[in-house]
Amino acid sequence: MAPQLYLITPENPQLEQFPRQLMGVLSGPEIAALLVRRGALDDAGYAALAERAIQIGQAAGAAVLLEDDGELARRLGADGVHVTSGGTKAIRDAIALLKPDGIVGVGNIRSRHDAMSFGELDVDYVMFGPLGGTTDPAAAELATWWAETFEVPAIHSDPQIQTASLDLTGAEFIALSDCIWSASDPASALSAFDKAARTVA
Amino acid sequence: MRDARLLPALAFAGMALPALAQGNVADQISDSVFGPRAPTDYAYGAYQRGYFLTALELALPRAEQGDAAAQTLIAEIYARGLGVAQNAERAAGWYQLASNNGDRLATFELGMLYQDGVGVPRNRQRAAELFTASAEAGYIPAKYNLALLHVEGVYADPNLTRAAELMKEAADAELPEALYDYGAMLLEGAGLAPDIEQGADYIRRAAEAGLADAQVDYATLLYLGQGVERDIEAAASWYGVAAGQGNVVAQNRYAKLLAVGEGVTLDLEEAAMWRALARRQGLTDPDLDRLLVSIPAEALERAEERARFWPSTPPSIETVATVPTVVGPVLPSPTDADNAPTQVVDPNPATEDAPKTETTGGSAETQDP
Repeated sequence: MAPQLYLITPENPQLEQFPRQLMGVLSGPEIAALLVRRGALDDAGYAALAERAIQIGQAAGAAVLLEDDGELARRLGADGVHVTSGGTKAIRDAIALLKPDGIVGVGNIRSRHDAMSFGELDVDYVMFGPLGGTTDPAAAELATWWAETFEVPAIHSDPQIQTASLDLTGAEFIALSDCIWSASDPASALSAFDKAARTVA
Repeated sequence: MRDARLLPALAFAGMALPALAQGNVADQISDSVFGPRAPTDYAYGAYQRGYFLTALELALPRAEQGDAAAQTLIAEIYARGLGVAQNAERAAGWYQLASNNGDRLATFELGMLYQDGVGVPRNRQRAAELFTASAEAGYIPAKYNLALLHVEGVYADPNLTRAAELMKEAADAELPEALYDYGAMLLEGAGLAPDIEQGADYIRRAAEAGLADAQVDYATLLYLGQGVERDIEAAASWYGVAAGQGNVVAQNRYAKLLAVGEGVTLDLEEAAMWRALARRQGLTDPDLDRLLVSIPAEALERAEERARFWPSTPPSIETVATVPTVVGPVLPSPTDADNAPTQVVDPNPATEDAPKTETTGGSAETQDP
């Protein structure tokens, strides 16, 4: 089955231009979910970015997820939260706050044991790999293992992924980040990935 | 110099034990006599001693590094719920990792989970692939399961010859189910030339390994003299063993032999008890009923009572049966003569007479205090 696309915003977007750029990218192929990265922003700055991204993302039919802050996600009407820190407790809190209407996903998996502990907590996906930066060499193997064994969907995140190597893990979702934003034309880069994903058997 | 030899071994075991690395005379002598030691698997040691949480703690870091033995160990702990809540999903996850690292036991166990749909979605094709991989790595139970798949012919190609080869390998490794099934294949000539003597021999070995179905079949072979010399007494004895394991066919046949005294001393009460037990499992046999028409009402009643409590003894009988027989040295005389019993108490005064009066009729149920 062809993997779905999961888009991660850049770590430090230029706040003035980014909303328009995002709108341009999302007017292209269908994106299952959009994760708004916090990066170095303070609470107010992140809230402002998130608010714009939620409007744009939801208008394009994508589920918009915020990073770690479940309370903010609820207040701004985001579709869910991506938990990267705080371990089991943070995940439980997010589930209690947002489920069943909202989405709770986990990332920043440090070990197989973590993955299984988190995966048992009624989460909607488990993400393997970093949100941006360099490739985690173990992520692909973990995602493959997860996808072939567990029911909870896997997301494979490789910031440096190439269109040619999309089909390797069997994960239900592919997270795209730096590979889109560092392209000269992010919209056409995303279209290329979309096309590649559809050809995955 | 010695340290240099031992340290890599410790690093391989995934943990540092400074006390050992410093070494002592006993270790040096041990090494010089027996050669360098294999690295100790501390996690497995803890597991064997029943310290499951310690085993888990020791195995986890190694498992994260890709150590197949540690991964399988953790999978076993979760699969059986040893010291942790049973968790088939986690077991499947760790078995999968160990299987990827070439552990044949893990591959087999993962196959079992897919076969039964435990912890993972049921997927018999995947199970068959895993059994094949584990069998190719030489794991005996996987060879047995693969043989069955070749007989079934849906998830592996229908091939009785291959099934018979695999079954023989598993049987010669003394797997009881394989001994039985290979014996049956030899008797029927399924996938190989029939050989009744050899088939009977495999079925005997399965019977001796405790498989009730094999005990029934071997008893029947003995009774009919097929592949073995006819031996009614041995047949009756094997039916009795299988009956005791709860096999309904054996209970019925053993009852018949008891009812006519064939190969075993005639005992209508015993026969009626096994009949009652077989009936309880849904097997009624008019032939057996005819053999037992002449049973006295009291014997029948006792038989049914015994069947109700089987495999225990009914309380009414037990009170008599379990009083210990005192034989041997006389008890030391009490120091205070006033505390002495007024007469010597014989714990079972009527051992010789009691059973007789019971079987010949009379009042077995009412016993004088």
